[in-house]
Amino acid sequence: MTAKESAPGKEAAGASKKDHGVLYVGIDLGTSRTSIAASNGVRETVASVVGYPKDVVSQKLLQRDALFGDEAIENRLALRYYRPLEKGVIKGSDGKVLPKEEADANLKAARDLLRHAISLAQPRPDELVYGVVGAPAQASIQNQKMLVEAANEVLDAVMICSEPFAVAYGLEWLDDVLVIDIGAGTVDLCRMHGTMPDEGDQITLPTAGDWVDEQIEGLLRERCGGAQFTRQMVKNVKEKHSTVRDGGASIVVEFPVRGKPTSFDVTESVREGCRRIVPPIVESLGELVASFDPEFQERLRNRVLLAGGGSQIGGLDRAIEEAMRERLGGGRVIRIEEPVYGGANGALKIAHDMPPDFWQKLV
Amino acid sequence: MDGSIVERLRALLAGSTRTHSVRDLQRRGVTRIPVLGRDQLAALVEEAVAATLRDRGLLDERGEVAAEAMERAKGLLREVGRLEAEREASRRAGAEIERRVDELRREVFLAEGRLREAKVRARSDAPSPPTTVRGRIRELFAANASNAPGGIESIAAELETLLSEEVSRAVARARTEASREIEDLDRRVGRLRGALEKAESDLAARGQPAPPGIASIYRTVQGLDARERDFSRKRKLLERIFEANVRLQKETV
Ligand SMILES: Nc1ncnc2c1ncn2[C@@H]1O[C@H](COP(=O)(O)OP(=O)(O)O)[C@@H](O)[C@H]1O
Ligand SMILES: [Mg+2]
Repeated sequence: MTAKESAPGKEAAGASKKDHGVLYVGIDLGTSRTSIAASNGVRETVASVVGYPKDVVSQKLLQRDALFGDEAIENRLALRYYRPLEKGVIKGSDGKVLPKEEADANLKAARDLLRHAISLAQPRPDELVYGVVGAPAQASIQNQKMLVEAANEVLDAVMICSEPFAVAYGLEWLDDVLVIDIGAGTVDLCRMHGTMPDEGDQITLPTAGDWVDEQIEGLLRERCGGAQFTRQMVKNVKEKHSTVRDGGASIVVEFPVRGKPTSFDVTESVREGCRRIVPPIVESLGELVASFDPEFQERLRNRVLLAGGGSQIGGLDRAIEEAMRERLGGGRVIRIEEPVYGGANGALKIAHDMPPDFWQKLV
Repeated sequence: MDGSIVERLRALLAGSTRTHSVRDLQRRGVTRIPVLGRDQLAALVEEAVAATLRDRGLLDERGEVAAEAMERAKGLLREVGRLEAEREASRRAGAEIERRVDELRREVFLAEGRLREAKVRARSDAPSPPTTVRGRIRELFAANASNAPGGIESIAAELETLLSEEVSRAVARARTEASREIEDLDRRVGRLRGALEKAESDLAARGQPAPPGIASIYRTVQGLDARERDFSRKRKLLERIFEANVRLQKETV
């Protein structure tokens, strides 16, 4: 800080003016989770749901204008409840015509969610907040505009960038990289080379986390006669025990049978359900490799990054490698260190690296 | 003692004395009354006040406000000054700790980033095991050893053993190096985290109100450092993101 900046008069004015510093934030506004990483060391994640009290009674009871994440999920019966994102973009921005009222409500929910995420980063009121928000690689211009609109109000300056690019940039893998991002609704595969990814560099699959839940649920319905359970319970079991590995401890859970808690060994169903995610991914990897410059195909095959909440399935990186070996003659897969924060960390790095004069033109 | 106090006592007495006529008193059967002159009374009051002051050590034997009391008052003033200076120093020390917390936070943040990168690098740098060595060697021999068909297989196997030993040594070396770097970084992050926690609890122990929000580790806008790895490549990519966003913003407004 220069002597001029710390002059007492200026300091006093600093309480309301934003001249104290600059807080960078990287945000991954995901369909299922929104995560933020900030240059004050804070990292937070919240389920992408927003709820507003339905009526005055609920409002009194909850003592808040809006609830987010798990808190909103717990109180959803008392709330007008929104999941403002779908397939990674704000609902109503993907060309599907929603009634205007509903589209507006979604945009508001998305904006409130962004604002909440930023508040989780605990910015000082006297600091500028510059943010980079990751958008799915396949997001249309219209989608991106909606994101910018939502973010403009809550950040001092904002840029949108492609989510897989952010993941790769965050790890300094700039060239010839294949990013697999396994979310709740979609698996996004993206080939990165030289320029920004374009249409032909991307494949989006519906066989993602939610689909795996569905698979496991189907298997359990066949195999655990009389057990009562919901999709959410299956998801919880998956997130706790997911694996594609052979061997290992058995997975035993309790489901009620006619109201009575009963133990079930669900090892096989969980493993089988999780394994089903592999073939479509490897199929798409094959397509992206095959349509790449032959000279660099081998390099690309050996630089596969696995990210997103769904990449936490135990042994998934090795399982994909194995399948690649069979189908593509080899390959190397690296699961990123922090699957949940991969996008946010990368977006933060982009925000930091962005030259000052670029930011200047956007504030 | 201050003369004006005596004056005021006199005036007070004058204002609050009642008068009775002698006949009146006689009628009530009063024949003798004790008389205390106003001056006498004032003197008595003065005496009482002085005694009290003396008891409290504020007046010396000569009736002057005691030098000792003056000293004590001055001492108190000095004490106030000292306390104020102390408070200022403490405030400065608090700011210093706060600065240190910021600094530590920044170091932790940067070290954690390096650690993450090192871990990824460690996994990506290790050479792949030679799964196709046998095939390559067989190809090699098949291409120029048509005269020794029986020996190829055994030579290839031998060579493969040799090569794979060599490779696994190289892999092991690369792994130890990488893991040493990771261990170092891990320790460093651990130490920094410890220091940060201590500094933060020091700050809390000073009873300073929690600062509103957590300060960024940056005071000014940063931007890519020209000394960074792949600078021009990154710069180009960032430029492209920026341009796309300028277009987006134009259309949004
Ligand atoms: N430990 C885990 N094992 C397997 N799947 C997980 C685990 N934790 C979270 N998931 C799954 O990850 C998906 C969410 O991933 P995330 O990257 O947060 O999604 P999105 O990008 O769609 O917001 C969900 O399907 C969730 O069930
Ligand atoms: Mg995601």
